[in-house]
Amino acid sequence: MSALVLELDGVSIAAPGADEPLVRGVSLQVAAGEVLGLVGESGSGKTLSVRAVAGLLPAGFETEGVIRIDGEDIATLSAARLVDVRARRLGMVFQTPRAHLNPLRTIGDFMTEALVTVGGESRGAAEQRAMELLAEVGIGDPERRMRQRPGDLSGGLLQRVMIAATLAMDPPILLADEITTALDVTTQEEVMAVLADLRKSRNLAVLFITHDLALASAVCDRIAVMQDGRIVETLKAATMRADACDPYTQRLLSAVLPADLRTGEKGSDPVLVVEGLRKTFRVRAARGGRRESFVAVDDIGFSLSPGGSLGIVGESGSGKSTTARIICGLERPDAGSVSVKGEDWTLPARGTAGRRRRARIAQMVFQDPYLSLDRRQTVRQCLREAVGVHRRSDSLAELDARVDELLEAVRLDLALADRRPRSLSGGQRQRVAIARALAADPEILVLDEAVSALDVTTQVEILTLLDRIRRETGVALLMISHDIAAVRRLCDYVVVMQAGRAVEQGPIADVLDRPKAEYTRLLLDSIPHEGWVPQRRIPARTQSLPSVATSTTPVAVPPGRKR
Amino acid sequence: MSASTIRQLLGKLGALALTLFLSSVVIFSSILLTPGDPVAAIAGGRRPTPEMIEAIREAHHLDQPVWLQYLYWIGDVLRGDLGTSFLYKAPVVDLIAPRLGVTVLLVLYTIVLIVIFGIGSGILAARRGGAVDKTVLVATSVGVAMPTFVVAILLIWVFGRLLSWFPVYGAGEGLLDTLYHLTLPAISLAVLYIAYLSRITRSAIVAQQGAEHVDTAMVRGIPRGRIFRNHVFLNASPQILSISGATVAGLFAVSAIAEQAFGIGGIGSLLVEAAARKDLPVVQVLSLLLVALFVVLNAVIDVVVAVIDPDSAKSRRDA
Repeated sequence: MSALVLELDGVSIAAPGADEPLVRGVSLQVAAGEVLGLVGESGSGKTLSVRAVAGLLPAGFETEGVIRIDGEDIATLSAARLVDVRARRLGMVFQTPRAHLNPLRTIGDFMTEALVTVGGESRGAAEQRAMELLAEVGIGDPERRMRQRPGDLSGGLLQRVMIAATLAMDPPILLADEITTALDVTTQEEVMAVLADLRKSRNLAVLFITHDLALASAVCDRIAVMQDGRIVETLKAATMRADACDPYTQRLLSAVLPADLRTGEKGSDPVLVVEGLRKTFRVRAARGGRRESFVAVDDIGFSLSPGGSLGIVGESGSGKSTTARIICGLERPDAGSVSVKGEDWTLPARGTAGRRRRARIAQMVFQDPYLSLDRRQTVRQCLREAVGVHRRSDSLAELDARVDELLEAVRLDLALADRRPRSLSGGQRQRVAIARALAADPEILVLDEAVSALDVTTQVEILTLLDRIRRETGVALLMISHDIAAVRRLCDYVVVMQAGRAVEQGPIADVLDRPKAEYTRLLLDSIPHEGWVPQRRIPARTQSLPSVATSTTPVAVPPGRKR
Repeated sequence: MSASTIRQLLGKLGALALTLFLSSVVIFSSILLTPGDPVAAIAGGRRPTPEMIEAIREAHHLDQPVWLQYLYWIGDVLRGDLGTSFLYKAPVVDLIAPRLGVTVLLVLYTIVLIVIFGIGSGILAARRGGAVDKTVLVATSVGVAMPTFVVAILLIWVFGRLLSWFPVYGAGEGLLDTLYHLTLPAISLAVLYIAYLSRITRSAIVAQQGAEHVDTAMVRGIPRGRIFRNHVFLNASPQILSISGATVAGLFAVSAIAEQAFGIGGIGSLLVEAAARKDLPVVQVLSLLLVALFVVLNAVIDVVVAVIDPDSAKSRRDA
């Protein structure tokens, strides 16, 4: 076994004033050239552990135990020396590259900053080195990228920039905290391929944090499973399934989604019919100040029966969210039609009454329950407001009775009703968001990446819940997701979108088990599974998609759309 | 400079011209809305004969339609003829010119105090936290609650009467003596704004200190001072600039309070006097001047913010 470069020995971490530590006696070793996975649900303490190594614990947090970076016990180092050791020996990459890069400074500033201030290199030498590093992680045209700001780059590119920047000081250790969770599957594959190459060429030790056990087992050598601040067991990735003996690990392993939740009621008239939908945006051209048209949605059509469920899958920028926004009246299409229960919904509703009437029929659940709930409202206040919109004459007691029903419907403990979003878990928040959408008794529920931000076990719970709600209430589900696995569980019909077009659509089993389009196959291959080797596919995609790939996503982010 | 930047600037200039035009219309209209006959104001106390009324109406184009009156007026203003004061029977230019210097100096002095102490204490509170933060919080709470004239009275009493450190009347002569005379007036004007800007600065910086990209810089071992300058203060500056710009531009109008309290003959006190005695030509010209200053200063700040944060300007334009 080669030299240990990172060791944690009996590390405990406690929040200020708390009786119970959040991390208890964690011990880990990572050797040069090894990838150690740290797996567990959100709140299990994996991020805290790695932040303790990086020196990023919030003020007042207490750490016990020994952390050794490259053999040196960090507790014995002076403050100044510790900063230097961390700066030179550790690289850290975070979950959300867009938030972790200063939006006001150029990529060049970011890349050279550590080289100049920590490494003491001249500006020119640092720029040269920065361009080499960008090339090393597979970023074409580094000279142009150096002058751009984070807002001009896609999430996948930014994550590569982050990785390239951490390599500036040639660190032996890379801390990767959920680095692909915010990316879609194909981009995740690109980033993982870059990481695999670097690990080989630089003999990097990687501490890889993820909640995705399938991903971890595909890319790690060993996996440490964490629950409630403890490491319950450490397993070899290759033989994990056979060796796992802790009940928690087994639960995580079985936390794959139950197959075939779906049963569609066939025969009745469709509740939603979309035909020939097309939407273009006027955007700034990649170069110069010209404006050009960007076709976000091109000739999309499908229909959804009552109680049915339809998934639209595709990468970010494929037009799936724009399609959903048009259906919900948040965007107006250039051509095509949307009809709901025989009524024309192509154009956004006029006036408050019109919007309220449509809201009774179609409701949306968004990706991020942290952002889509008002943090000052308690769960009850939030739901009461949502119910009140549609039942304006009800008394407070009647509203509250309906709120209790909704909480019951999403299986949320009534005791949580007086909490605010901050003290709820991600899964609980998403239940509140779903309850809010159900307040109007809608006939269509549009789920815009509604489970993408959740960890696997929570995802299973929410998908199961949605399916049950569909059976109980007969609501039709329209699910927008980049996650084929989730769509496969919940939907009976799927539309695969790429660059605004439907490359393939049909009953879920036909499309996903016998994909005809190359792109569907690519999406399916990008999902981590046993024996998965991440591949760099960018060159091939660049050739087939020149306009999108060279100009990157800003073209695909029209005004008002989330990134 | 790229084509889009130039187009953006031209758009800004167009908006600027439009704002100035509209405000000049509003200011001109004030003459129509004021109670009392302007002829009586021009005649100034004497009972005018019908011939005098006729003469005055003709001289001041009062016999013409309103829109023509506006064109005569704005044409004169643009050519530098700011009209004649009803009250002093002297050209408005001659009234404003000698008083402008002292007010400009007072406002600049105040701005320097606001920037140094407002931004300084905000930064200090945000970076040190704890007791320093609490102290600044209490001090600024008191500061924002103190009307300028109350501060002026306090200052006159403490530093003028009890301690006799500073003069409390007049503007002095020569630059140094003038600055010495303007110290208390500038402080009295600045207190409110210092407290306000300190609050804004503190909250903008605290928000940026919690930004995730600051974590990135910390792990990379970037020196703290540099993190503060390049990743915290830089990112907080558009917010600080745009809010302080809007308030500081209003100083020219508020300076009247300090000028009155300290007996300084600046344009602020001229404006108050002219407004009280219905000397409309003076009121109009000064209002126009204040509006122009306000609009131009804010346009300049918009451009500076756009240079710091080009994306914000773009997204605002696209939206």
